[in-house]
Amino acid sequence: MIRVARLEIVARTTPEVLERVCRVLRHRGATLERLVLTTTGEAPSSANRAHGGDVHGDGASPLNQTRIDVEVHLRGDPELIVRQLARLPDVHLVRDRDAARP
Amino acid sequence: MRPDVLHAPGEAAPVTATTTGARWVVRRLRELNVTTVYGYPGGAIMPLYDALYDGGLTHVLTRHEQGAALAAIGHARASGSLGVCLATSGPGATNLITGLADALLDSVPLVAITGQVASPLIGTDAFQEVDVLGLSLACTKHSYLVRDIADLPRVLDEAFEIAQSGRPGPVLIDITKDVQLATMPVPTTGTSVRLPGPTAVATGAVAAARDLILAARRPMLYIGGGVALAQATDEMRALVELSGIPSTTTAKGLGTVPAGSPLHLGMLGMHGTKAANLLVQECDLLVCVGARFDDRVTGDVPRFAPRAKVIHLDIDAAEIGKIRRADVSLLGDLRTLLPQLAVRPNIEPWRTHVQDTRAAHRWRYDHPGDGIYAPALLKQLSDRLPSRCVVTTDVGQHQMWACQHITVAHPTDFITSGGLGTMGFGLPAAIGAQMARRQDTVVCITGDGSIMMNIQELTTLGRYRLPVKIVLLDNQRLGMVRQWQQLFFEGRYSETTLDDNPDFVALAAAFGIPGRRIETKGDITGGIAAMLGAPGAYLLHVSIDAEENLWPLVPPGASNADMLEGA
Repeated sequence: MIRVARLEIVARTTPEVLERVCRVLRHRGATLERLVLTTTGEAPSSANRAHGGDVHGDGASPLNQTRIDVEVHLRGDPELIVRQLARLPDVHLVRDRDAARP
Repeated sequence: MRPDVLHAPGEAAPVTATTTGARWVVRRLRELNVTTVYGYPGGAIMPLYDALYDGGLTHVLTRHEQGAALAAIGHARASGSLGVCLATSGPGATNLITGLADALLDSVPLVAITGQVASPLIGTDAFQEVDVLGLSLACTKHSYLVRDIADLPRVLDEAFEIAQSGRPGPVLIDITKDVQLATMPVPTTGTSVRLPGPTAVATGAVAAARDLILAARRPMLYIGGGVALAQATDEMRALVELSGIPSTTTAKGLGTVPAGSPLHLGMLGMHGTKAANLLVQECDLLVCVGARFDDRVTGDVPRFAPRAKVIHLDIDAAEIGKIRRADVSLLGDLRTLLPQLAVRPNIEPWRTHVQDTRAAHRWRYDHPGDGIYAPALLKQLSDRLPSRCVVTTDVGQHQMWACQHITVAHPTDFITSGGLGTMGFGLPAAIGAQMARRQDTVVCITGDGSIMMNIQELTTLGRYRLPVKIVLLDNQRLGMVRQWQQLFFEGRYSETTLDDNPDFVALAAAFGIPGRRIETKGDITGGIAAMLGAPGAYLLHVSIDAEENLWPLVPPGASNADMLEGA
């Protein structure tokens, strides 16, 4: 059965982190429905200085992290893809946003 | 001698208060207990090779970068440590890719260091420029591109930690040429690396697993390569002994349980023993230890061990439930987990049944005709090998015959490309194994298709005087593919005939390696004796029947209960 999974991924901000995440999603047969990428930072002004003024922080998370909110269509248990993503050394947190849903 | 470096010949060069990126890499490798690296130089990695010139490391020059990666894998697997390989940018790096993929699928700790074009040239399609980091994403555990020398110490230490921690795997470090040449103050301490460890075992999971074991009437241990990777062979053997539970292994698990163990069934799966496959189908509890329900093991998954509950022990959370749902999962270090399962179920009728089934399906080595029957030759070879030795294989029929008929004392003694199935693996892996274990006999069992894929490494044997013994089973075919064409493609033998092979004995002689060709049963004893008695490398060229098939065989998509056994 194909279902929609909504995942939240927090990762180190590196140029290739989205590529790594998307590779795992593709390898597990997921189809991308929606993706929002946010570079986060406690102090957006300092982050802007560090990154040349192009960082839109959420003001709540540590510096140098990227939050990837993604909706994918996939077969099987989203928990499996969560565990695969969690293996990436640059990924700090992955969760299925609907995991608690009955 | 450089004016800023004063040291006696043969000693490692001291590093002055500042160092270049290249010299730091070599120094840090030594500090991380690396003694031997495998590689091939080229333009973008010349600074690193300059640092190697007096850097105190042993460098093994292979004749192809794939050979370097596979030799580093052989070194890692034979020694239980980490392998290191080097290559230049562009084609040097692309030639490493197969080795990286091999290490990923077999969970081998490997650090590959590649040179990259200078930072200002990146993205300009410079000479020998390729996006190596991009190429690496699908075939490494992690990878780095270092464009700032300030990142180099952290990256190198992280790479070693990532390669060896949790489920091991390959890590690539691509270092631009300008970073190799740049200077920096010598870092005074190593970088502290903290990676997330496995999550704690769920409360009650161990108790639940013990309850399942005690309640089982037909339990089976299914043992994979993860046991050796966790250096938990002793703990696994203790559990086998104490629990009295019958066992079977994957190809990478061979050697974990002593072959003489009365309830050990050998390998399971597509070319596993008949007893192992039948009994796994009958079991009511499968305790999977450091294995991953690979398709070559399970056959048709829904019909694999259909009545069994599953306990799955692994370091990698992503393996739990990936193929087969686990009734109880234990995530963590096998050295810690296995002793906690030490209970002995009351299963005497099952043990008797297992022993009877095993006895009823022993291998048979009698074979009509005068030609050489490969399983019989390998059994004789196995009987003649020292108790501790290393056997490497290539990929194909000979590989599975080796899995079936070669007995080894420890999983680090049997090195085969299990996950990727890399033809050309055996010879370079044997080179790495022999470098790691200079005192042990190392035998490479190969086929006429596989050996030609890295035949250039015969030169490496001579260059370093490595006494690797090569057993070449030559059927003038790509035997495994030919067999499948016979069985599943109506005998349409498309591009699997290799009757234009070179004269392998003459070819070996051209590389300075003696050898002989044997063709009949009567030649086997003398051939093996000549090979094992030779002081250096030796090629035993064994002519076998082109039509000989490998049995048993579980057809693709079939249940393991439906294995074919030939004529």
